[in-house]
Amino acid sequence: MAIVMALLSFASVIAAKLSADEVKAWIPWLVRRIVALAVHILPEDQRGRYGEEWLGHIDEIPGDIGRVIVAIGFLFAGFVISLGSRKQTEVEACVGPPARAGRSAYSPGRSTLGLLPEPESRSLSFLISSSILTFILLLILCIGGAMNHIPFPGPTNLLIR
Amino acid sequence: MGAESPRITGPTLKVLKELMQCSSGALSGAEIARATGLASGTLYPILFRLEKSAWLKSNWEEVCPSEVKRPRRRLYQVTALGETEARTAFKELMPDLREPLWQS
Repeated sequence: MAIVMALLSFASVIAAKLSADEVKAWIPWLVRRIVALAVHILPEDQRGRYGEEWLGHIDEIPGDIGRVIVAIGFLFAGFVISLGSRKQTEVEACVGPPARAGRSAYSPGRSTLGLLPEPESRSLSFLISSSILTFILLLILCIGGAMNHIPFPGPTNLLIR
Repeated sequence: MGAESPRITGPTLKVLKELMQCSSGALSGAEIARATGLASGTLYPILFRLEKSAWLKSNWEEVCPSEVKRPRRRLYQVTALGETEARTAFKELMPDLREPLWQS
């Protein structure tokens, strides 16, 4: 029984190590994909500028987890910037340019989410929830990788005896 | 650039204060994020709004990415309008403040 437990623990340590290496190798790709998605959310005229700017920002972040967190933040930023641009375009189409619009027609102090039509609110909450889930999944995988450095209790000691 | 004033919030003031305090006159998004502690999801919409209201202007860093082996940075600067408006906002929000929050 002790040998089986030891073999199982050995196998789990190897699996954790392999999965940690795998996650580490995939994180740069994942970060690039998240930034690309965030840039895709933006209005077309802003994409080139923010694409380069955000890649530059990511480049200055030390550590893979930090990069993933910042990249997820870009998703939120992309959505908010996109909504801000769209809202202004819609307001301008309805009441004219900002000089004539005045603060009563479009007050930047009002809640962004409260002003959204229903489908946009739904897609925004879907994006937020999927981003949070992705982050939690990555966190679990990384904690699994970090467990390699913690001495495994019990069964490995039995094997030594 | 629109004539609308941006929404003045705590994070917005932090960003303005940091940009007005910096000695070089211009900061990249990553530098502002480090200095203010704001998350990227909060910072860039603020920068976008401030830039749209002409309180900030931004330019690409004048380096060749292949030479420095990194992407160019976008550097943000406070405009004269932004500085005036920010000082007014600071005064309105903190009337009892005697010491300036930044060195101009």
